[in-house]
Amino acid sequence: MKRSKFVTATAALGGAALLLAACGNGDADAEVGVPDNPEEVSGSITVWTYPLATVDSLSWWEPHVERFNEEYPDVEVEMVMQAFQNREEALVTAIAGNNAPDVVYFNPDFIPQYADEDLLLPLDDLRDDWDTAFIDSSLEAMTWDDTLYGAPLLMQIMSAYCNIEVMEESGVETCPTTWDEFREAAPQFVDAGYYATEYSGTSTLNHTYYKFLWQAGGEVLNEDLTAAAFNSPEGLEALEFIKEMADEGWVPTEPLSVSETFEQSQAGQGNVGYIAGANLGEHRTTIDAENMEIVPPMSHVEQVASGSVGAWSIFNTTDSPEAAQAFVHFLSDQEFIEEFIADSGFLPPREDVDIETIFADDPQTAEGAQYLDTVRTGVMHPQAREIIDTIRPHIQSVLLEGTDPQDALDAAEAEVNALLERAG
Amino acid sequence: MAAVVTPVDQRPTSDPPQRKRTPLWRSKGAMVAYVFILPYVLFFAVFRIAPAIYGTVLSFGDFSLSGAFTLEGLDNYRRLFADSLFWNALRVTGIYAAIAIPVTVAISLAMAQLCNRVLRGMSFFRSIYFLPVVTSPVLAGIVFIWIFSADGPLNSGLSIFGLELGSWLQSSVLVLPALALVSAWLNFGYNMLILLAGMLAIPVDYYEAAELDGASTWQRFRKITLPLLKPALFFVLILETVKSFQAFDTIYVMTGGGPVRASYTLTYMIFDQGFGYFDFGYASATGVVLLIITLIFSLIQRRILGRDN
Repeated sequence: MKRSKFVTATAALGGAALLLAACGNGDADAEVGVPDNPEEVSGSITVWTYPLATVDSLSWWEPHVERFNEEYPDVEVEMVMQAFQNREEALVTAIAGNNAPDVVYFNPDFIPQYADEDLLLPLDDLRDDWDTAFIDSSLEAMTWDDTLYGAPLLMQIMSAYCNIEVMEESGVETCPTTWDEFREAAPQFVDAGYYATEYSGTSTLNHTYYKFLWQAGGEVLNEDLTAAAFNSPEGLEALEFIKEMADEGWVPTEPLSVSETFEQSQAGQGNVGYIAGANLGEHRTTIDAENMEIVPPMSHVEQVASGSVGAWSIFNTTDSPEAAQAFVHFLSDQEFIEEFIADSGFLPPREDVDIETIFADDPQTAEGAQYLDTVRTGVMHPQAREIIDTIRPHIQSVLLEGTDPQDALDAAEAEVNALLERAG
Repeated sequence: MAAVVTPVDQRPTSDPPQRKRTPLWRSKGAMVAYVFILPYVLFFAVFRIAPAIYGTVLSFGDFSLSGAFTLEGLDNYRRLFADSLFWNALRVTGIYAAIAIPVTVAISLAMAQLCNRVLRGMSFFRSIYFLPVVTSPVLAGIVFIWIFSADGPLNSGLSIFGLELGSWLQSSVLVLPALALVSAWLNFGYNMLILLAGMLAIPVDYYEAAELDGASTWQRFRKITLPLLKPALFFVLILETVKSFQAFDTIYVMTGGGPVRASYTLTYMIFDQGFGYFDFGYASATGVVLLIITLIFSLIQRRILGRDN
């Protein structure tokens, strides 16, 4: 079919542009690097941040922006505290309305999607110490097509722990760290009237099925990301493991199809023996820290933990690329990250941050830092979310409707391959 | 007696010249009315009509977030009609609407009838019944997750009658009725007010006459209330049809389209394709199809119920 290309005709549809106005590519080719002359850098930038644990108010940012302004007096920084709820809708609407922020806080799954839309500024040359100071996995999580698009701010590992009281009442002596150990402990938890663990059928597969798939030694997509690879013996083993949990009553059934708030969940009420991946800050709101035995991430063929990386990306639509780069450079300095980590309780993406001192009173969080190299954040692909949405119903059908795991994987594979083929 | 027809050319011409009347639409009163409705018309044009036109244009192409638009003709529609996801979403939307519309309208009608009486404190009850309308659907969704859970109060109540249904939101069969009940709870208060206003406008004499003739309560409702309530009922039906076809927020909060896409509606699909996958052209094509379906259903309802109005 003959295709004619044209830039969105805003003139013809001026009023309609309120819905989805086209936005230009601004300074897409701007060079990136550390500005040599801070006093000559000027401009006004808008930075979208989010409530990051206890760093949830603009007042926290004020002294840091002031410190940045001591070096860059002519850069005006406007910090905007956005809500995580409806995060993507707000961002897409802002971009489509030609009102995108200059700098934004991103997690890994955003990077390929927005980079593929040619909206982000490469950051490879922003710092000289990427390779020497930063943890590799934090940079890999922000890289798409061999280009770095995010300056890491924080890392997060979903910690594995056992509820000590539940363990004692169930007679489980050792908190499981492998699939086999879990299979051994699970019936004991259940016999004592507890659940062995939890499995969410509605949350991102990065923290659920994918994690077990990776632990089994499998992959979601093939190496060149052109076809599904999860329909494999490893993928089947992972799905059968989850099915076993559901069939044996090791997990509560409600979370298989419904998103519960943590307080409403069985884990939140202290009725679960082993948690495979917990946001410690959240779990400590209802579970006493002294009642948690933190253990290494679960392993089978491989040891894999789920987690995330938070980073700053710059939209190439910015009118002040130099100012944005200067601020992101500042935000990825050792001094700033150390202060942020100390106040927020996240783990640092930099190896030169003194974790032992910062978390001297919180050995449970510090312990997580040992396992950052086992963290896998997800599948780096522009269609990653669509792939998850495609596979998830098939997994639900296995857990809720008794579909044969192999049949479910066959069906999911066909749909994912069709999706990848269409995306080209 | 045969009617006398005067040929046009033989009509008397000696009538006094009639004063030319100003058409109603150009009268002074009309002008004032135009001024009053102008802001709304402008807002409606800018925020409703224009986006709808723009969305229709988008449906014929591929729009990227970076601003480029590529015209692709009917590609999005061809893809849509070959997409099993779309047909599933259409089926789910249809079933949901088929449950939600009659349930909501029936409850609204029943509540309006209950409130249509002189009773001490009735205005208090009417206010209470309106409360769900101003309740956040998201908050309501969270509460209803608990109500419909396996160990929730609904199942506890049903177990008294020996019914063990398990978690409603986990069942592909029960999830849509559950969501329809939530929709009915959220919406009946507003519909009730409209229907109540319609009922209060019916002259009491009709009921008194019917009562004297020995008509039962049901007969009075069926033969007097329902026919005279047609304009209000038609409005409520159209409102509920549109709402049902656009159901999203409670589904988003309560089921995420699951289990196994059993509550994955067309609006949810539009949301995913647009905001999730940035496939705005495809999302717009789905939106256009939804618009056409809603229009067809509204026209059918108008034909059946609202032809006199």
